Amino acid sequence: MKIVEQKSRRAETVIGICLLAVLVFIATAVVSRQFDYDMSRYGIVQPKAEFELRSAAPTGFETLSTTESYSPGTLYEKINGKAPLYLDSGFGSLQTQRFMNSSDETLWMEVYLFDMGEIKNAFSVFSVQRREDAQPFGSVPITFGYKTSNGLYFVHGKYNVEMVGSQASESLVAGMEAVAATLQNGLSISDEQISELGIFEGAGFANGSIKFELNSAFGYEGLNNTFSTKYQSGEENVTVFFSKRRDEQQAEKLFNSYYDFLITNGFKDVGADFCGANGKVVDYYGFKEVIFHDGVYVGGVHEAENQQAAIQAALVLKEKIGGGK
Amino acid sequence: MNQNQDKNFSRRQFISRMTKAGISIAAVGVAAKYLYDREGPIPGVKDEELVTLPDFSIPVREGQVISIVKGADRVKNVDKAIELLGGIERFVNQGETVVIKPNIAFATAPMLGATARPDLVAEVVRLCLNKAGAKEVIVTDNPINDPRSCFTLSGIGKAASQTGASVILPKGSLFKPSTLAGGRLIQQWPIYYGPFEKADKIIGISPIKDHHRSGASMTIKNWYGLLGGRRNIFHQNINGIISELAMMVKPSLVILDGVEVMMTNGPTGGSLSDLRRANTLIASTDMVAADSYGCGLLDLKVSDLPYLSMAEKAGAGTTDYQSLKPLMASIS
Repeated sequence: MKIVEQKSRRAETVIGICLLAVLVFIATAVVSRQFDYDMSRYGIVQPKAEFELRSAAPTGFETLSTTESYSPGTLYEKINGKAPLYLDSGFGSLQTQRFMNSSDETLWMEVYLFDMGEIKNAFSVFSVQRREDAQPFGSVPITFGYKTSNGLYFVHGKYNVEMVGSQASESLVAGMEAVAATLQNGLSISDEQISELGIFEGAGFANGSIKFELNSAFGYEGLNNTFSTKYQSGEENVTVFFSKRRDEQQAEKLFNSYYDFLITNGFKDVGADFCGANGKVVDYYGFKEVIFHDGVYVGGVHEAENQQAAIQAALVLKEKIGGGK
Repeated sequence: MNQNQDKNFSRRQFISRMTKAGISIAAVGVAAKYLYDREGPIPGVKDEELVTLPDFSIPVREGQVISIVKGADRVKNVDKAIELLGGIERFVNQGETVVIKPNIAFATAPMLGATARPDLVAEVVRLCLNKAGAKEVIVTDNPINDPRSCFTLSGIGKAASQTGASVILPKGSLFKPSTLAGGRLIQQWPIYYGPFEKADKIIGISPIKDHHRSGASMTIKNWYGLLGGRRNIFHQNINGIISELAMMVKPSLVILDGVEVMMTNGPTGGSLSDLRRANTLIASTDMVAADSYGCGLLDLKVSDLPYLSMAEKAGAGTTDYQSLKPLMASIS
């Protein structure tokens, strides 16, 4: 009987020590992790994305890293100071993925897939970052996509896609074009369009330079939802712009407040006859600003050097708007 | 079996077990009384736990505060710029520990200009170790993106370690809370303190970049890497935080690389067309002066960057870099 009791006590002791050891191990692990926390390994697990970005690896490339996902709350952890540009434009989520050339590890790219909620938001962040050396690619109109010596950028429905290469390389950019084709086929989008872009169609308008600013165009807070582009007016290349308002009263109100903003900031009214009371021409050290309102639109020409060319361009724009309702 | 055991459970055993149980309960009670915090958790940090970054600046030498070197080769430029200020021996003494803090914020390729250039970092490491005779050179940063990727893809980790520097990646235990005297934003905020604790001198290396939020990222903004926690909240007062960084960090030397300047789409850029060659490198003991010169390379005026005048007002330096009589040189 005593032997049974002794065995039982020994077993209890061993089990007790084992349990205590496990508890000590857990406590040590918790303390260790608490003081050596690495977000990249223990960060919040993001919900499964609609599209597996890593599956877009082009032929001859392999994944260089895991797919990263960012929400409005964590976007700063990826792009820091540029985050407000996207956050102020309806940003929903971001997925990124790096791909490396299988035979040359110095050739790699990072793909940024921004879900901006709707096409206008995607077009806005795309257009305000357009590079000067933009070149067309594939069958994508340059209004919505371009490539540079080391990058490729395009809008696909609500998505703004940016691809950044490690260096200027034709083979790298070719790989980006293959990724673009995969994304265009794989990402389902609605058929929404940006109808306002039709105003900039026609001779003289450079559709490869169209910008859509959701906020504070030309430094004026009230001038939001503004489309602008370059227009060849005779010998002069000027910037034309328009903003569509809710109704005619709102358009007139914006026209007046923008005019007041310009005058407050040192512009002088040149007193030119343009559209009667519905138009103004102002000057700032030789730069002319033409503004008018027509129906629900406010339009104009921004910082032109030649007054005649500016007025001519404004008249063409006004005709294109055509008393828009 | 159990019945038999119960039958043989003696009084002695019963008392023995009850005594052990009593001792255990008493021990728990004493421990609970000892550990019990009657006041509960107090928000914030105790004053004795707060740290302050030491002053790493060196004595001012009139006429040798800022140097500007023109040339396409940033390694030659930095050699010349430091030579004009009196040589690396003026900044680093033999046997000292130097911390170099390059901008390694993003996991991007070096040629995109979003991070300091690896060849420039390596050259400064070499000068400190081989010319000045530093005991140890540490290269570190607390990047925006995953640190391992940033140090690897920027090329700085490899360049630094190959030149003999120790590379330190940030981890939680290296952060300590700090309160900036006279500051409004840096209050009981975790800062990247560990690597700087044992440093004798610190050197900042940063590229000149456009910055969507602050207008520009140069030598002062580079110290944003010393902030821990959810530092993005400071973007709500970007000029305030940059001017407080100028008050918090007193470096021995800063190097501002304007050989290629990120003119647009900063601070990340992405396309080579975001860069413009300016073939200029600035070395200075006055961060405000260096950045005031640098903003001109971004086609900006000092007044376009409010944090510069705020930092000047706080006594961190001067925006009137011309008054310092910059030492100029060109390298063909």
